[in-house]
Amino acid sequence: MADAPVALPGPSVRRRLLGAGIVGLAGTLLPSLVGRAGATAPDEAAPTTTAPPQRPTAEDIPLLQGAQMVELAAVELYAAAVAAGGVGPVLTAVLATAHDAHLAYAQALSAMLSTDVRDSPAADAVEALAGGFSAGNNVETATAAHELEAALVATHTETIGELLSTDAAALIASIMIVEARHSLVFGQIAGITDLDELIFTDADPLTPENG
Amino acid sequence: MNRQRTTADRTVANALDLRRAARANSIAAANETRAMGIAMRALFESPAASEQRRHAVLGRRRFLRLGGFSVATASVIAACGGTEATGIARVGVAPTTTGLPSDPAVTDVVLLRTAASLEYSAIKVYDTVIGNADLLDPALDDVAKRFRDDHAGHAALFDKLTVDAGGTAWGCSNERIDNLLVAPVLRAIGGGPATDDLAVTPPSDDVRRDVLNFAHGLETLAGSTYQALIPALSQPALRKETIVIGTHEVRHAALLALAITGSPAGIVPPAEAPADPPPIPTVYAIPGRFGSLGAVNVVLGVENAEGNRSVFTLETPSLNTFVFESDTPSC
Repeated sequence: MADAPVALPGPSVRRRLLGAGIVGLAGTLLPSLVGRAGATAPDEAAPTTTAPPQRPTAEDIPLLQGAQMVELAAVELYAAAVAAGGVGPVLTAVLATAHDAHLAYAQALSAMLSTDVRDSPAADAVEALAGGFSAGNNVETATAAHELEAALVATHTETIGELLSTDAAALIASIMIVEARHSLVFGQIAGITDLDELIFTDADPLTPENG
Repeated sequence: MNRQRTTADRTVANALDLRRAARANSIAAANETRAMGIAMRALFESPAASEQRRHAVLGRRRFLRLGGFSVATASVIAACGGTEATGIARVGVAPTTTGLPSDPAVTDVVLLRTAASLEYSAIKVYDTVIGNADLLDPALDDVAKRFRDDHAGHAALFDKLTVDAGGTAWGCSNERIDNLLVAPVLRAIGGGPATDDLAVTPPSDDVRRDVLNFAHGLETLAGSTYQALIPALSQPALRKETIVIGTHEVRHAALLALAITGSPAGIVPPAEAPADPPPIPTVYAIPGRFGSLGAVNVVLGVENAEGNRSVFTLETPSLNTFVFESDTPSC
């Protein structure tokens, strides 16, 4: 496929994204996050004399399990999109790239969780988003992937705000940095030209319920 | 009455001599180790262009044949010194350097002030190119303005977080990055007259290309920096605020990569690296599976007689780039 010129987006009003599909999943990320959120607001940050733990603590385990569940959900969704076909070769290649990346994220989280690993996808997320991923056309599939990646970034943002372990936080950071890139690329493939929509930084987090 | 020295006396004297010699050796070794440590930190943590550091290393090796502390010091000065490679590490061209604080404690406040300083440096770069058709395609002005405004928002947030964490907001760009990275890059792109230290620099053969590549490098560096700060920050809430900004920066970088390389060629790297890589590295929107903390090489400027361009290595901040709590804003 020949190189297409990059559409140059212009600034305009931010689109509220997750109108139909993901909004059902949106809201609180993890029940455990909500109860802990107030204690770590930036306004209350104060110098500490104790170094943060390097390895995951008992409090970190459910957070990492949730992160792995949404990554496994993404793996399923991308596999379904590739299997559905009907999209162009460029999008197919990027879908496969994203699939492999999310599988690597799930495996990395699995290694960190060790015996606490659950290895099950977030079933609600898979069910709610499957339609977009199996649409069989470029725009709908790319849009669904664009929204999923933005939602994953939002999800991990909440997680990283609660994790105590520096190793775990570093891993999640290295994952979400690339998911942000995924989101922008899928948005560009979907033909989004509005800069606010393309950069899309206000997605709601997913809930990693297990069905 | 003189007592005749016994075997025991001689043994004690020998032991004392040995101990004295060992102590002298230990002090000398400690001095040289310290000097080497300073040199290595300056070499590997400096944002100076890779060309400069290569020369610094060569200078160090040559000097180390002669041995001695003064030689290592010369390497340090060379690595931290002039903004353009001069061929051989020379003490004479290096500006006066300021040492690190005696006890450089890297606290959350230091990291937040450093992050703010990076944002202000990025704002200065965008302010330089926005609206200047020689530097930036006017079709990209709106995108650049959006990026600039994002950086302004990030800078304000980092200043606020600094105050919330009990520190003093920095509010200025990073002087070291401005002087040792941004200024020489802009000179390599736009050219510059001869100075006491530098020969005439001709302008790049493709100014707009170089500006975009530098902007891409800066945005990538910013994303890597905030990713690197995550395990260094002590408070989860600060990590959250920081990585959110990191995800904004890499989105900027991805969009710039698509604008520079095109789509779909600029989306992901090929499965196999080309046998003959292009002299100016190809940039990609999704360069890897995990976020990289590696250095970013930006190649720009006009080719010299040997067919080489200037290579600038962008590295995440370290001790020599941090804005310590004892530093005073100068802007």
